[in-house]
Amino acid sequence: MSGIGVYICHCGQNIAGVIDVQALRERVACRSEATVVKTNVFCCSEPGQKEIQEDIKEHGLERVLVAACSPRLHEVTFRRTIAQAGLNPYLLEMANIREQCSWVHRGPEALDKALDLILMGLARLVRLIPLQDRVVPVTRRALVIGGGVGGLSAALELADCGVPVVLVEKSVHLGGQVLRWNIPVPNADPLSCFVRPLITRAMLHPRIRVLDGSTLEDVQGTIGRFTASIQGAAGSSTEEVGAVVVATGFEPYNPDLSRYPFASLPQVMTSVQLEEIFRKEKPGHPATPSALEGVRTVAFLQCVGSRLDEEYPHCSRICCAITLKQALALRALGIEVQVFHRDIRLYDKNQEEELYGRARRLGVQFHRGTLKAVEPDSEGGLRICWHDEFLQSTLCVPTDRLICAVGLRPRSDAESLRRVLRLAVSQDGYLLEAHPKLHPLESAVEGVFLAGSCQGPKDVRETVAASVGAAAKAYQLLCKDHLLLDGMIAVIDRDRCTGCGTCAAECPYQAIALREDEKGTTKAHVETAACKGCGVCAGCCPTEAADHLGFPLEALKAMVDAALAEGAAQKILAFCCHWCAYAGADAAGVSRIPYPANVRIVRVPCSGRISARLVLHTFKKGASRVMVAGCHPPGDCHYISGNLRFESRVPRIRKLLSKKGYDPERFSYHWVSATEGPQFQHIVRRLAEALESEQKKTASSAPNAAAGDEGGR
Amino acid sequence: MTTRQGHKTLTHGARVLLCRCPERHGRLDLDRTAEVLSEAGIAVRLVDALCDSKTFPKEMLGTALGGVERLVIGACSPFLIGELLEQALRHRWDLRWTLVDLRDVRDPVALSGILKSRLQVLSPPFKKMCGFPSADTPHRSLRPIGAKAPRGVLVIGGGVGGCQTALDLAGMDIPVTLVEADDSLGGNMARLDKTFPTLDCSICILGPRLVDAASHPNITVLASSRVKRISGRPGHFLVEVEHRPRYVDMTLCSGCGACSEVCPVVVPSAWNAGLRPRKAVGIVFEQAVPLRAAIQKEYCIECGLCEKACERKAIRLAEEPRVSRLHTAAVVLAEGARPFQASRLGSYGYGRFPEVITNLEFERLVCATGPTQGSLITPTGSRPRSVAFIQCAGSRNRRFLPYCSVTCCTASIKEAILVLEHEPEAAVTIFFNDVRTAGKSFEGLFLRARERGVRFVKALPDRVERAKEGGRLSVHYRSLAHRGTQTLEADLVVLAVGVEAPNADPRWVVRRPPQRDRYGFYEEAFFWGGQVVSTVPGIFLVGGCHGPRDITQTVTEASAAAAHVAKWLRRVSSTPAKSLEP
Ligand SMILES: Cc1cc2nc3c(=O)[nH]c(=O)nc-3n(C[C@H](O)[C@H](O)[C@H](O)COP(=O)(O)OP(=O)(O)OC[C@H]3O[C@@H](n4cnc5c(N)ncnc54)[C@H](O)[C@@H]3O)c2cc1C
Ligand SMILES: Cc1cc2nc3c(=O)[nH]c(=O)nc-3n(C[C@H](O)[C@H](O)[C@H](O)COP(=O)(O)OP(=O)(O)OC[C@H]3O[C@@H](n4cnc5c(N)ncnc54)[C@H](O)[C@@H]3O)c2cc1C
Ligand code: SF4
Ligand code: SF4
Ligand code: SF4
Ligand code: SF4
Repeated sequence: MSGIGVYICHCGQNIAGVIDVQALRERVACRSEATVVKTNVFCCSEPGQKEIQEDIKEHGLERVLVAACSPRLHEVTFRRTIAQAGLNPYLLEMANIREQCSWVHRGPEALDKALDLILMGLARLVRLIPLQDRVVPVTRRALVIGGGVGGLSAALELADCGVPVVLVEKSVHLGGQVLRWNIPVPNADPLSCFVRPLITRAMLHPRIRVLDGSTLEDVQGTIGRFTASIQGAAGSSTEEVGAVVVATGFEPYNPDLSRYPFASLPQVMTSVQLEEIFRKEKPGHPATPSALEGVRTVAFLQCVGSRLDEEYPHCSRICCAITLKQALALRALGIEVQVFHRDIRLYDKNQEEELYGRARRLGVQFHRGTLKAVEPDSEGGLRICWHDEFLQSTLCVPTDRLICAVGLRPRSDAESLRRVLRLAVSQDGYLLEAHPKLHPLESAVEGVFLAGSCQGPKDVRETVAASVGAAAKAYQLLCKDHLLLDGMIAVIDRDRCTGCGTCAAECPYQAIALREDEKGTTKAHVETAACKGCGVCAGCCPTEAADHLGFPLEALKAMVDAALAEGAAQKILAFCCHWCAYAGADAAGVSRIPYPANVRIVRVPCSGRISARLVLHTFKKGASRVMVAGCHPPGDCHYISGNLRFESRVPRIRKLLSKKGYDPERFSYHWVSATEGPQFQHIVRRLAEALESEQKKTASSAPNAAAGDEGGR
Repeated sequence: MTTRQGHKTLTHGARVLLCRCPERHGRLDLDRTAEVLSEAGIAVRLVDALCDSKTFPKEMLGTALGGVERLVIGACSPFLIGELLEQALRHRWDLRWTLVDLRDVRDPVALSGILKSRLQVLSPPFKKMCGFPSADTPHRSLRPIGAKAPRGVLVIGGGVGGCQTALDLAGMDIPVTLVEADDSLGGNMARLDKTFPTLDCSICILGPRLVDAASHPNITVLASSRVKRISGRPGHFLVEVEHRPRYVDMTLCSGCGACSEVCPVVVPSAWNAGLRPRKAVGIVFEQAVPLRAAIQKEYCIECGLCEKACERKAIRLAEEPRVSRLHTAAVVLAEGARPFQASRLGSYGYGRFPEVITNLEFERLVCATGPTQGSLITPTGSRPRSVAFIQCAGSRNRRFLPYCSVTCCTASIKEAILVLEHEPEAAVTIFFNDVRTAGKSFEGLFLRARERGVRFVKALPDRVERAKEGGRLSVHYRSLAHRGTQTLEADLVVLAVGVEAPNADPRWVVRRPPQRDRYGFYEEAFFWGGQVVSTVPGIFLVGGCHGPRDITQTVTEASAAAAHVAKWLRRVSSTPAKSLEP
């Protein structure tokens, strides 16, 4: 094939340290018809990209394969590279020889696999067709969900920049939880003085419409054009918006009596209750809340509901600082304060370390260790028994009151919202950001942004920063009339389509409609702007009329053929979805978790793209094991329910396999999330072990020639 | 004091509105102030909480201010209520108003004097004023400039924070000039090996960002440059940028590195924390952006070998510093923090013992692009069997840095895991004060380190010594569990040094330069203000330059700052004359 350039990256020592890239280059050069085969120390660096661009001009390259890191990392980079040199950006393929090869395999196996990956990539590359980006109009309005400080800041920021905003708040008043906190932060304006103007401003702002007592029932549509159904007290309404900002906040932990039996004692309260008993200071009156009348000593117990080894191992980040503020307030009333803690975690140079010093100077005692017991004593107070790390002994101290510094938890009623917006959660139950470092404000769903403490524990300062930041992200989308979306969507071959309507029923985005054509026959038709490119339609179409432009059936078959061209009987073929399973395999690479090298991964947009016939084709080509891996059901699927659509096909696949004489036990499917590198390893290992023991059995009955295959290359 | 005539003008169409905010200045006897003012014939209104959503419309909207020409509002700071007032009064072109912060006022009678003088200021000669003057900014500086306002934004510092701000602004179609003092963008993050909590490769995730920033049509990157001088006023800053000569023509160089191959002068690479030699000419690191060579002229012997080797004839040994000027509407400070000088901690022996290194040096040491290509080899050349991390090196110490540096606990835990990835058998000990892993999923990393066998000892060592010549280092510490001093033998000691405020500072020739706090970090003017508001309108803060931060916080703030800038630009470019919404 002329006009193809192959670039093999050293990635410093990351690839070159394991794989002999020169040998690889030579083998690619003699096994394929690529015009140019080169290596580069860092393909993604500026000269690396420039070299590709120069070769495109010089050698008239038409398509480019980069064998380097995961396409999840640099596909966009290199698409832009070749686009700048005048090629269609979709005529690019990446062979993942780092995450899925050099980081997990060693020795000659790694080299063989790298070669296969490149040949598989070339097989797909030659079958790709040039695509165009879609231009999608943007509705220049925003929907903000949640009216706490987070939601208010985001809404005001957007409105001030000229974007009309709909603000949906579940409860009947704006302001969220901060209105409950009465103890002031030392050296700062009272929180209420910050929040009250925000509320008033939002209510009076000409561009903000506040819908209180309302919830989000349903969201349809995609980035730039969402339709939200909102259920309010006065009935339901629908809103057309271009972006959604989620600011639904958190929930304070409510001590579980089986773990904290003492929490029901009258002398014990939570930090939330302590805030609430502090009335607003009336000028001239003593500030001691009546509930603390006569109390001389107070103890704080930190990490209540947080850092529990098995149950909830996460730290709530802000409760140490809250305790400090509360301890100082109590100390100012002349109450003795002790704090029982594990670590004192403060992370804000502006205040907190200094307050910590001040609290210690004012006589607040800090004890580091573990709680043994809390019991009522004879005088109506409490006895706290504590294993002190400093003294290395258990001591018991009397106290009048115990305050549980409760942690922050994800909202327990967030599930319906999560489902409506198709958001994922991280291990701690908070909403998952697109990337923990570089995309903390975006969710994995395009056009949906995360503001404030719904993404993880945050104090007000951080909540405001995150919300204003999320508004900036939404504004970047909403400040233009149009948006470019990629061109990797579905097509229907009219000639093959029988109008059965299977695809229309299965498409998770209702992007397929059945229409009558000129001759009066019913045919399926794809709404290009609504199609997200999951390929479910291509996976389910009984006549193979529906296909995916970026992952055409022909290309997938060709990749399978290339992967199984040699030593098929030894190989495991894995179809992995781009968003979860493929990312999970990458995660195994990033964490250097090795797994057997005889697995060949074919990337697909979604497990729903896999059709029964594709699986059959793979077995026909001699694969010993075929696995399909997608996102965990139900919620993780990037395309709402593609994984479930695939699962519903499994019985049919099994039946087809046994009808054609293949053992359906050799086919398996799994759910792997983007962080589950170890699970991926585990799955592949199990398959490889099963394969090995099976082969030993057959080998003992009839000697097999396939074994020599691997080495013969 | 006032003449009859003056008195009349003072009271005519004037109103004083006082808020008895219950939380903020509830103790002030405003009734007395009102009395004094009423005696002077000035109309006064007292309200309970002006900003309350029920009170505010009653006092400010509709006919509430009918007949009022001059309004003095005694309430809280402009940061709290200013935007609300402005939103409500924006279209009242016939009204001149100002805001007085009552927080620090103690004497009600003195207050009446202040209010009266403010009323006087609002008298006709100062007609054009609109918008709220903050407590310490002059009124005129906040006047919108209109169509003549510059549209561009200056971002100082090309670390992850500066680049993210630039990208977000560029995404809003706002032109940005990004000035970076080093030869490459990237800042501190580019030097890290992995980032917590996910342990993903730092330059792998950052590199594409830097390329994006440098190739964005709305962003002009000025590397090897410093801002020399900033003058002008909020909304229209005049900036002088000095371009340090790189002695290489940036338009010709392709970053091929032929020059560094021939260069005879070997110097320590500052970028690799001095751990790896480099040539006096060459690129800084493999993923540098822009990827162009530069000559470190202080080491160059002008042999001219590179001139001959460079096929593109890019070497310019006689280049001179250049200065360029630009006008910007806003400035974003993203200069990052500086690592603390470990040698100031004499007892840990940094500088005396090669095996004592800082955390940043450790990051370079284990990095695949670092001095040992990623093998963990101590500076004395052996593979470490015992590694000790000493936390809070300089931080949380009243003699050095009285604050917590925030990232070093989690960074050390990450580095401890990296040690075990290189040397699974090594004994790793972390001496800590508190383990501050408070971020999202940081605790999981901590637990993972403990499971992997990292030992956590609650103690900060007294000193690090070498017991005998050529032997291993011994770390002396007092642990809680035992009496007296204990000793740990270590092949490598990593000091988790904290960060200090940036010292590089452009010369400010503005009325009020951005203030620094008592530690030298830029001061945030408003505690609740999303952490990005400096003490000067139109100047915003991002990342390490206003306090220690991790990458997530920096990136979050970067976006927040972009939003603030966008809003600020709308404001300065709005037409100052009477008009409706743009
Ligand atoms: C005891 C305690 C004391 C504290 N003290 C301080 C302090 O002194 N200083 C400080 O900085 N921080 C303090 N905090 C933290 C502070 O409360 C949070 O930072 C802040 O509330 C976060 O704001 P938010 O807008 O993200 O969430 P929230 O305040 O929880 O607001 C979320 C809003 O969204 C609404 N909502 C939720 N779900 C939906 C839905 N599905 N549809 C529509 N609306 C919805 C809720 O009704 C709520 O109004 C304290 C926390 C606790 C527990
Ligand atoms: C040892 C160590 C390990 C760390 N590990 C992690 C980690 O694993 N995960 C994590 O989240 N965080 C980590 N951090 C923190 C992280 O490095 C910082 O949060 C981040 O780099 C801050 O970015 P920044 O853009 O604010 O500043 P910087 O990255 O410091 O960038 C500032 C830039 O501004 C330039 N500059 C300075 N002054 C001027 C001037 N006057 N004119 C022009 N340019 C100027 C500098 O050259 C620099 O390029 C670590 C920090 C250290 C020290
Ligand atoms: S912030 Fe402090 S009290 Fe809260 S969970 Fe973390 S360590 Fe425990
Ligand atoms: S690719 Fe997915 S979204 Fe597009 S039409 Fe097919 S099933 Fe629907
Ligand atoms: S200066 Fe010349 S030799 Fe040096 S890197 Fe640039 S192009 Fe290459
Ligand atoms: S983060 Fe940890 S090591 Fe760093 S200063 Fe704070 S407590 Fe000390």
